[in-house]
Amino acid sequence: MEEFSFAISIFTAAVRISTPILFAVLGEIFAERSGILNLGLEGMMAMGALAGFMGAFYTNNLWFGILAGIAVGGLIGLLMGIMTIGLRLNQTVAGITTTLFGLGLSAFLFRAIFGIFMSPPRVERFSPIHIPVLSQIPLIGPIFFQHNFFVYVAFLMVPVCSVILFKTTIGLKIRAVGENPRTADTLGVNVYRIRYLCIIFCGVLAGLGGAYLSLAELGFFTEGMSAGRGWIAIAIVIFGKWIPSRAFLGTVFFSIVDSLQLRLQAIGIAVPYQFLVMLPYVLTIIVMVGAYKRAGAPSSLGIPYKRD
Amino acid sequence: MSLRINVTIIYFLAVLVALAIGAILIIVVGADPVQAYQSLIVGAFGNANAIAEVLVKAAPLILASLAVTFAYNCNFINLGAEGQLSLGALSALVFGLYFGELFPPSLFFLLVIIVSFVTGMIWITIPALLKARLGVNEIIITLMMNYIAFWMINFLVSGPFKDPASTFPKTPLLSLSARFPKILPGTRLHLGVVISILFVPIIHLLLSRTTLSYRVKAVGFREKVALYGGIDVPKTVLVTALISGGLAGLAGMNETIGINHYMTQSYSPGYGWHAIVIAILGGLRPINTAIVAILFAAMITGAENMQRIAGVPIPLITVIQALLMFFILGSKIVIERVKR
Repeated sequence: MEEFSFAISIFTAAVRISTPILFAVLGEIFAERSGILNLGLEGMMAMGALAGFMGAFYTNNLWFGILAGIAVGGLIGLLMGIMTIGLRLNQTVAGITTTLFGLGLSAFLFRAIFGIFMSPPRVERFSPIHIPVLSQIPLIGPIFFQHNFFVYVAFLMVPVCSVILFKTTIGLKIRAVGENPRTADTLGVNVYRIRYLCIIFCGVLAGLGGAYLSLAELGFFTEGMSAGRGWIAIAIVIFGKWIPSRAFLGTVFFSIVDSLQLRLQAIGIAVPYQFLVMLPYVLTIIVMVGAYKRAGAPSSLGIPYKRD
Repeated sequence: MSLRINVTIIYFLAVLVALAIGAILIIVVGADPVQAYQSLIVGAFGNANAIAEVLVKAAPLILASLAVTFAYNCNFINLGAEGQLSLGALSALVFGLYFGELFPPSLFFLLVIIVSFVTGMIWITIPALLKARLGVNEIIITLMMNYIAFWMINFLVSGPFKDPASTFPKTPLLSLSARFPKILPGTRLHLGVVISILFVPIIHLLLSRTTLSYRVKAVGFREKVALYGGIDVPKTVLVTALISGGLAGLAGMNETIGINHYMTQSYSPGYGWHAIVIAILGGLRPINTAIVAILFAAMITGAENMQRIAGVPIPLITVIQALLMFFILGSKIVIERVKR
């Protein structure tokens, strides 16, 4: 068993790392499938992380923290919706605004409320749940079945989102709205309602991903803790051609590389650690180049819909 | 005419609403909004020194937002000004450390301009080529380059360019002769500010009176139309992006040759982010952009005073910037709809 411990630790960490990104990726797929390019993910995650932390810190209940993260994420989703659907603002500009808003507000509130401290205020993290029987399987058990609750939620969300998107009426409506809103409208689909629904859902998942960072991963909040995960998630959605299962594979691949670089940092190899930290960002660029043809993008992605 | 006045009033109201929401946030965290805004204004315009400081901060902001503006006109969205600027700052500094005393000052400053400009160009080359040749979305690539630049500087400052005499990871201090001379005694106002402001008319002319401007705007307006008009679209995108990266790199020169004269490990002034907001609020026009940049410099300068006096954290201004975008762009759209 010993010879596998390295591999086990890499893959176990990869599963953990992939969770917040997976939430953001799935949310973004819904937003983009409905026609909204949401560049506000990074800000949504930052606010989710702060709201999650504060909710848990003040109530002493991690679940309230998660709820707060979800609620705040949803609210920022609504804000993004008002800008892109209601006002029909350029989606790139609206997304940048949302990201700035989220990053700025989370940093402002955290500094104003908690001030300057020697060691950051902490909350107890979510503890791992060992799935009976399954967690005892060699190799597979420790990698997949000894994680906290939200890791399981994230992985289950992949098939759930797939089914919603491709096998249900609402999924059909979402895709129709993203492909050809005019036709969908003619057929009686409420384009605005679907888009609002999707962008709020995206905010909810991004907020959950952010709350995961502060409540399950670290147990505290720091400024900029989303560290580009929101942007990376957007790249993965493009790489995954807006399909949950493909994007899942992209997320997993990405997380394994990230996990590997973290591990190499810990071991201390001859390469300066800064180059290892760069790897995820370099990989994101490579992934984007690999997916450059943009095949599979919803036809009306980025285009505001105006009902005559 | 009456419509024009209305527009001004509505913009004014939009700014007011953004500031009002900022005030609510200040109250929420238990500070005094009157004191906060007062200290912000005093910090920016209270005395000659404060005003000089605003201009010092405006210099990199002007160049960085010109960079964003220039590329945006060609529909190239450069979110990577932060990284280009940071590396431009480092390359200017390193050049000064090694060659600062070899050249006469005027030649040295000219070379610094070239070095930092070229550094910014190099740092945007990857996203520029990918966009021009393959059509890869530049937004995410330029952003990722920021993170890579941050860690690159982190490495360079703690390794190859670390001051051997210091235990702390920072570069050596630039010699006196390699610094921009101060142009107003007693303040930090330096020659770089003048050089930076000179680029405003240059970029204005470049974007209004040249054939390049025609090509840039044609591509920015609609790629297919430009293509049918016989414009080499990839080349235009590439040239525009390279100029944009160069301008952002140049912005960095102000930071090291002009003010700080050394660099620490975690360098990230946030100017690249401000620049995006400035360019958009400046309507992507160089002169308006420069005016907005000076206003933002005042906000940034005043914010330090606000944090010190009223205890309101500096990131409040990022929130206010986002609110300004929201309300100004939102009211612009509402106005256009009412007109029709």
